[in-house]
Amino acid sequence: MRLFLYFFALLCYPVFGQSQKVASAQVEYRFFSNSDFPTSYYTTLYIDKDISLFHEKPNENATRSDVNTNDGLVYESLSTSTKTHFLEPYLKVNRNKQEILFFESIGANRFLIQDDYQNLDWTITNESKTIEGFSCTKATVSFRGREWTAWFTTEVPLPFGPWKLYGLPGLILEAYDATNRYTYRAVKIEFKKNAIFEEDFNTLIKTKNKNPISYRQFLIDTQEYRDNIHAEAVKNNPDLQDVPVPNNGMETKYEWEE
Amino acid sequence: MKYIFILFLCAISAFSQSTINGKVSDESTETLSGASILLKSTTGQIITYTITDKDGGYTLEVESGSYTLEANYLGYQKQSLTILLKDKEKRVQNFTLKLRSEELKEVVIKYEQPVVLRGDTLVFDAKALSTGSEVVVEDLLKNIPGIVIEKDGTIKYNDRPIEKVMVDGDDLFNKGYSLLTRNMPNKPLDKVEVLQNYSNNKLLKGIEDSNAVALNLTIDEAYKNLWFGNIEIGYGERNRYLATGNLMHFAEKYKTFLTTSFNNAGYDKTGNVDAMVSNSVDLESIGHGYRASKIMGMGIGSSRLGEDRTRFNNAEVATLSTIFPLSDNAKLKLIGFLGFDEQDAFHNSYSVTDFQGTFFENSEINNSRDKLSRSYVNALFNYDVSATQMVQSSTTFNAGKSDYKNDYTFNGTSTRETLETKNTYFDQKATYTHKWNDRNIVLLKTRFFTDKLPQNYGINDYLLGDLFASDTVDAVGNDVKSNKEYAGLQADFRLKQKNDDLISFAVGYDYNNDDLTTRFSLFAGNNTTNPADFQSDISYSVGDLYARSGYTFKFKQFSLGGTVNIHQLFNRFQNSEGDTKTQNPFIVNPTLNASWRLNPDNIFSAMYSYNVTNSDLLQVNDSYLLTSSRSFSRGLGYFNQWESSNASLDFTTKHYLNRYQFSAGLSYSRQNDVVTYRSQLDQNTSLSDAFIIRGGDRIGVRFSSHYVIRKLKGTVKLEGDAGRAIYYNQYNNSGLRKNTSYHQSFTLGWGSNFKSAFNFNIATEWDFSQVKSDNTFRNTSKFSYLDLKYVISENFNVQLKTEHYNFGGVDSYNNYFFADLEALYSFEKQKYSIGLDGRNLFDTNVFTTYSVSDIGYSTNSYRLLPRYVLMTFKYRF
Repeated sequence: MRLFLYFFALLCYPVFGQSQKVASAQVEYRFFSNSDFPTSYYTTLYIDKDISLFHEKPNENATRSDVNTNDGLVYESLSTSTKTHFLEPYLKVNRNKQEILFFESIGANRFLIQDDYQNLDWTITNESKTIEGFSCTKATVSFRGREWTAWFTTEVPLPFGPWKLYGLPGLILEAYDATNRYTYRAVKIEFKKNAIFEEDFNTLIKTKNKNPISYRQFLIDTQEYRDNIHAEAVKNNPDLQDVPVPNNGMETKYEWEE
Repeated sequence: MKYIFILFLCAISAFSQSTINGKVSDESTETLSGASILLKSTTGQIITYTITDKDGGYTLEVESGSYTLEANYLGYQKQSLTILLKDKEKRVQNFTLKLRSEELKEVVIKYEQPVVLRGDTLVFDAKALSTGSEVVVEDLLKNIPGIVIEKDGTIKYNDRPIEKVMVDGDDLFNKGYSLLTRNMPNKPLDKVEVLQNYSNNKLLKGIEDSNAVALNLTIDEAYKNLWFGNIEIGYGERNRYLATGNLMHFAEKYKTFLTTSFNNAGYDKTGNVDAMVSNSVDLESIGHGYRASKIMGMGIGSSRLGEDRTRFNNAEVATLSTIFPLSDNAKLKLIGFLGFDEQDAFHNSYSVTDFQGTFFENSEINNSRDKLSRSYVNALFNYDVSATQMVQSSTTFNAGKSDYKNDYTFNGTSTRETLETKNTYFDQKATYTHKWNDRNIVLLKTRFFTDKLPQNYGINDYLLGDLFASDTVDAVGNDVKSNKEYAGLQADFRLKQKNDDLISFAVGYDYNNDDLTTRFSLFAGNNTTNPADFQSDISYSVGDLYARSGYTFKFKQFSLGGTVNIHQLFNRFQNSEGDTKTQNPFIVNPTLNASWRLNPDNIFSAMYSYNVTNSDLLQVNDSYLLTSSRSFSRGLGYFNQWESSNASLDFTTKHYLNRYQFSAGLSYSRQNDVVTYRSQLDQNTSLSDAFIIRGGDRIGVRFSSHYVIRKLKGTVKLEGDAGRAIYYNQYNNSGLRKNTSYHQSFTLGWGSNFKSAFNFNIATEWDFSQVKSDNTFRNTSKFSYLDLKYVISENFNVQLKTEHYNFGGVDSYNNYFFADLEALYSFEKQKYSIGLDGRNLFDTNVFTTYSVSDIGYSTNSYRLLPRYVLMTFKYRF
């Protein structure tokens, strides 16, 4: 009898082997940045079990629908510009290893950076709404100087979301900060595992450093680079006026600044 | 008693926390990490949650009570059960999840777009950008990260200077936009648009790779009749004055801009005007660089000093430009310019000519006044035939006159010279642009212009020594009529390939016709002689059928590109006797360039070009032309083309954080045959004849570097270049002379980068030159400057600029010091400002430079504007 059970288990193993696929998804978010230069582009979140990869694509013109310009301006785009101006970075969140890795650039050089993994302290509210048939609940968190709101659905129980927003008991379909400056909206969800997980994350983008540098050090280097550029510009033109730039980015305060 | 009871209750509740933990696994007993565990109230609200760790385990701490506990994992069926937790209970609850049988389907979610992106145009709301404290447009633009505004008003976006600032799609200023951004109030602004990858020709967008950026301001409907501008008035000692006014009017359909300026303080206010008036930016055309030949040139040579120290002037300038739409598809822009100036100059020179068998010294004094007048009218017409076709036309009429009078003393003999130069210029350009599909565009360009440059010279004495055998000549005159006509046609194709490379080629035909008539006369009492060989009546026409193309291959970090220019020329020269010569040369001029980007911080580049140049009018001319008071020059009398090749190699490296940057380059150029001049020099005259000899070569090396020193909060720069050139010429009875000239120059500078109100900038430049021929002449000069800047507050700043010049050579203790002080105080948000402008505080009156050549050396002294202090008042409305 036991032999029969073992044999049955062996037969069933390939079936259970397919459970590799079940915790996989590919979610496309539309990102809106209503900053001083409004911009909008697509981003994709690839999920496989405990790892998520967030890919930003700022170069593709996010005008996949017809654009009506009837205000007399003549700058209509008759062709999409696919020239690569900006870095199209990846961000990896590994829940089990408690590790966050991503790519950023200084000037023309790209870097692999390691950020501190934080367990975001979400507050789940009583508010709910429906998005395309998914029942969503509202949660909020304070992260690096901004108050973020996320609508997540437990019907897709993946603890991931766009950018560095993760840890809710369901996929985040919509996320925005309190000032409505940055918004992510999921526009497409597919349940499959992307081949990108076969590749070594650290080599997805050619970087100047082989080993990841800490995010804190990277921010110090970025500030030094800006200071040096300004110093060079002043050398050539002593009348140059420096306009102080307020930090209005996605992260305005860091936990080590307390 | 009550309080103890409450305390007791609290104590009890603190200890009534219960725990639930467990493991979540699937039916094959594999644990599931990343599963979500939800604890909901009986009404369905989520009380708390957690996610299972890498071993599939979870722990929840919660108050005792009745709940629903759910476990869920993607691809599996959710499980939930009701649990009742007692105080301090430690419940273990494991879950075994079953696979879901249905396939999970793809989901598409539709949203309304809150931001409309129109290609490369970013639109944002001016009201949202404003913090309430801005007054003019420049203040509002300062609020944008990525935008840096320089002291002179230049706007840069991401380190790149922007092309223009338009208002409702119209541009009145070209690069002179600071007149707009510094004076236009920001209140009427509705939207500010940033146009990236901007092309001046809107049909070129998407085909031409452009990194240019332009700004477009749209005005709120409510403000459809805007008037604004500013006035600046200054007055100082020695009756120096300055008055400038700018007035702008933006109406529903019309936009007008008027600027006027009057000054006698040495300021050149036409700089901004030239930028506005040149419309090569608005309209791509052909025939660049062709102008009628100016035969006679007078006036002071350029010196090391800025012109504002030597320009004694009295200038009046006014420009009016206006744009208005003719219909929905057509627009007209008119620009008119009127200017007058009187420029005085005082210049002495002493020269020594010393070479094999020849030695003489000359001293000259020039005391001149030049009365200039200029008027210019341009009409630029734009018509959109359809969304893919456009016609542009530009019509220009320019008239100018210069009345130059000079008290000229030559070796003690006082004379009076006059040179009257007139110019009339008429230009008609038309360009038709057709974009026949997304990737392909053709521009058909035509142009026609006539340029007349007559000159009339006279001197009331005879200084030409033995050149003409005559004792009785008491005056000399030269009458020049120089005319050019140009007509051209070109088809310029730009085809963008699938891989984003751009293939461009152009074919065209240029026709240039120059007529030159000169009448050189010697007056002796009532007799007039016109010596043979010194009169000209020639006509030179060049027809150029050409094609040009270029392509760049890009492969990984390499790029290799080339362009080739092919010309079939039809040269025709008719000389003073009426004989005609023709020549039809075929020319190919290639250029190759390559670059290797080792990594983002290290780049190598190389360039090679081969060039054949056709002779111009003065090189073909067959008689002597008087070019200045005592020099004549004669061309070959026949056509010639000469070849030269150039090669260069460059390397740039920089630190990835820009702590330092270093670049070095090597260049070599060689001329095969050149047209040079064989000159007969004597005390009084110089007679140059063109002839062809072997060319020389030139080799040069240069480097530049800067290094940021964080500890000292400053930047150090070090630059240098050195070169050696070999060239050949012939003077008097010498044979072919070989001349070698060396030069070296080094600059060392330090600029501070303090975050405080005070900053300084100091630099020194050493120049060394040597020319070796029969004799060797050397020259060393040093130039240093120290600028101090003190920004006392946002509205008050002071700048002190000091300069020091030193020239080696004859009197090696020639040291010159200059100091200028500028202070500006503004109030009421810069609506009013008062300024103090002190120039040449050390009251240096004369400036003498020293220069060497292969046949001698010379010193040149210039009289300078003496010290003056000007008080200015500026008002903006």
